[in-house]
Amino acid sequence: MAEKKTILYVQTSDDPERQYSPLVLAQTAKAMDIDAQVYFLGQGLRTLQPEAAGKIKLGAFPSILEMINKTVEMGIPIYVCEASKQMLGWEKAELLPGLKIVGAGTLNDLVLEADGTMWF
Amino acid sequence: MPEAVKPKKQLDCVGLYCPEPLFQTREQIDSIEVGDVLEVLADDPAAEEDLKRFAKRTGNELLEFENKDGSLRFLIKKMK
Repeated sequence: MAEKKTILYVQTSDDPERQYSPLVLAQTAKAMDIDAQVYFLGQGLRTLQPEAAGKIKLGAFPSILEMINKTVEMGIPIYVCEASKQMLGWEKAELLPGLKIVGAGTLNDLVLEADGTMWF
Repeated sequence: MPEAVKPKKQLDCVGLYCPEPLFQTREQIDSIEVGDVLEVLADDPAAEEDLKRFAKRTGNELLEFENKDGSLRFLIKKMK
């Protein structure tokens, strides 16, 4: 069996059309026995508020809320940048459950640990 | 019973957000001698993962970590 690899997907945008790719890719990676991790940074955080996530639904895909819940259920860690929360002035913003708040040092480290990264 | 570790310095990062706890931990680690222990207190949830990774990445040793209702405490031993 091949050595297990890790891919890190980084979402930096709140553009609805950019939201699906990292989640679909992460879920696909997991199905192929590749470890997947998703990191939300900067404006990407706007999607993680329950109301915003529920409103994004494009084409035949489920809503982003359903996509994120499914990603978490599959055991794929979703990290959220603390400094971005501060940048957006969200000291007490409600984010979707199951997400992990982490810092800038963690993103650097995850990039170095991963076998590949994709930025959206 | 093992003897309790005595920190050489204590760093209070309570109320500070990323990346401050990491920056200040780095500054304090640089200010102590190899073998000394730094105690860091923080309440930024991001500090948990960040400081654990900081210790590992920089070759220092995380001797202890505790999270009591969101109050984080780290003991980091300077190894090099």
